[in-house]
Amino acid sequence: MAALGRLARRLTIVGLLLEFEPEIKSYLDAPESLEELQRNAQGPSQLGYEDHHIAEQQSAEDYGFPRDMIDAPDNIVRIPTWKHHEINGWYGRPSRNPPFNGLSPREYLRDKDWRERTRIGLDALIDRGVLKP
Amino acid sequence: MKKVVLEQMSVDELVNHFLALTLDQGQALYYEDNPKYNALFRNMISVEQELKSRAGDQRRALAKFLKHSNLQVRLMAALATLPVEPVQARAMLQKISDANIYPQAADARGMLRELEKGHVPT
Repeated sequence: MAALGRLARRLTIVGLLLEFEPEIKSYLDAPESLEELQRNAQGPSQLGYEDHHIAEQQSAEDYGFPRDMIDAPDNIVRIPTWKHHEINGWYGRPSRNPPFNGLSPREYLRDKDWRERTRIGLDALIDRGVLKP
Repeated sequence: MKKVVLEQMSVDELVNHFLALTLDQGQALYYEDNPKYNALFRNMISVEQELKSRAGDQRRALAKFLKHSNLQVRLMAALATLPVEPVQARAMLQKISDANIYPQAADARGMLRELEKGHVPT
């Protein structure tokens, strides 16, 4: 019975690896240039990747930035799916790092201009090894 | 739920409370539970402020967690002790950054960048 249990666990792990293979592979990508990430977002969709707004769309829309500015090609990059999820989570968590000083990035950006939103968005990509410094 | 009165706690109790909060933060991150993480983070900041207010700035008592086995504990200990143990704390941030384990590596990088730009933690 123990051998059957071990086999079942191994099959589960193999199943998970196969199911998430595209996400696992893309997560290990080396950093790319901004131009590469933007260009990739203009092509057909790819397994393991999602399109990401450099200046976060939710807070930008809440602030009143126009949709065509938010969805402009220079604001969209294609990045590994799990890095995308990490960045989305990070926007909602408080950070003591400047300039947030205890606010979440989303709270900090509430009244900031487009330039600052872009700067924070690019730093988020660099800090997660998606964008070359 | 038992109310924690930080002002009545000893330094050792505050340090242990910091450890419990940061261990729970690690779990909250693992389960992507931002509301829980955010509450734990704010409690942790309160603990640090209380330690800072104790004679001699007792945040230095958190430096022992720079060698803790849990990555989130090490990260938060490094960030908390930057003003009082800057060399050790910065070295730990660099190690966390180099290890490329996320999300902690990204937080460490964010602070290292600000330090390079001249940020002085207080």
